[in-house]
Amino acid sequence: MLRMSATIVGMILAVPVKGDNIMAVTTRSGRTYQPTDLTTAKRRDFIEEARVGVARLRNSDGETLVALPERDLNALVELRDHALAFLSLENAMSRAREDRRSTDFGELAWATALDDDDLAEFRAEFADGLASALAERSVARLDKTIHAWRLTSDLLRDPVAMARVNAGVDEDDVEVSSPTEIANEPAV
Amino acid sequence: MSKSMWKQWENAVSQAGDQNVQQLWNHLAYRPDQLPLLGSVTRLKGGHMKGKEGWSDVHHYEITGAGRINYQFHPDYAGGAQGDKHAVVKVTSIDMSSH
Repeated sequence: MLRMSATIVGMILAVPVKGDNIMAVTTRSGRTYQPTDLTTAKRRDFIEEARVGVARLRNSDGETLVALPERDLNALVELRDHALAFLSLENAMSRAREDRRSTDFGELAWATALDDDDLAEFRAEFADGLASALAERSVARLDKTIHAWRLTSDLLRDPVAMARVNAGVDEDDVEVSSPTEIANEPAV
Repeated sequence: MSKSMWKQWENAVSQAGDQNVQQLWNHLAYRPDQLPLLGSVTRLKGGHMKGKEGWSDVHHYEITGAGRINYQFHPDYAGGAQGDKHAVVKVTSIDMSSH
């Protein structure tokens, strides 16, 4: 996973290596445009290449700029953030439990509520989610997975609620009226 | 639901609005094992949220506009005062604060 995460960051900061089809950030023609091309009919080709993937433009300083659909850039940025969060999780999990601090988990500090079995399951689902997000160019499913684990950690921090999980119904329990019934109850 | 949560339930009704809480109630009462028509349900993760002895895994319902509720359901619960098998939804917690 370390290698994959590093690749994502590299692809955001640099022009993708030819032949590396991760995220399909490649040019269709392989052509690099000049600024003057944008004043001619070639700008249509430039825009079309940007629309379907990446278009390259070399400025007068020799620096290469790229244009790509904003949704692809957003997906790459989100993937980078998730990859960094994953690295923080890996880093935290590499420490003995008694040596871990919540700050080791970075933005996943809430994960300290998970025991080692749950952490291992979370890590595995996170890794699968990252791989799927790369393929799908979307972090939507990964976000849902992380959200579910976040909710789980919230409940684990509530001992009263946890005592009710898998417990039977007892004399302390009451049936819940529907909101309509509550609204229609006469005021006492 | 525990008696201790009754006040929170009444608060939920007043804060989230009758319609949103009615949708929650309909979901819990009639189809807790399916996706809600409105609102969102998340099945919680990990070993501690796994259902045992017929109980479902713990589910989390986000009430549109306010708050959330955690619950489990049991299609053939035979415990409690009634004794006969019947479907039960057990609310484990209600939280009306926002994230």
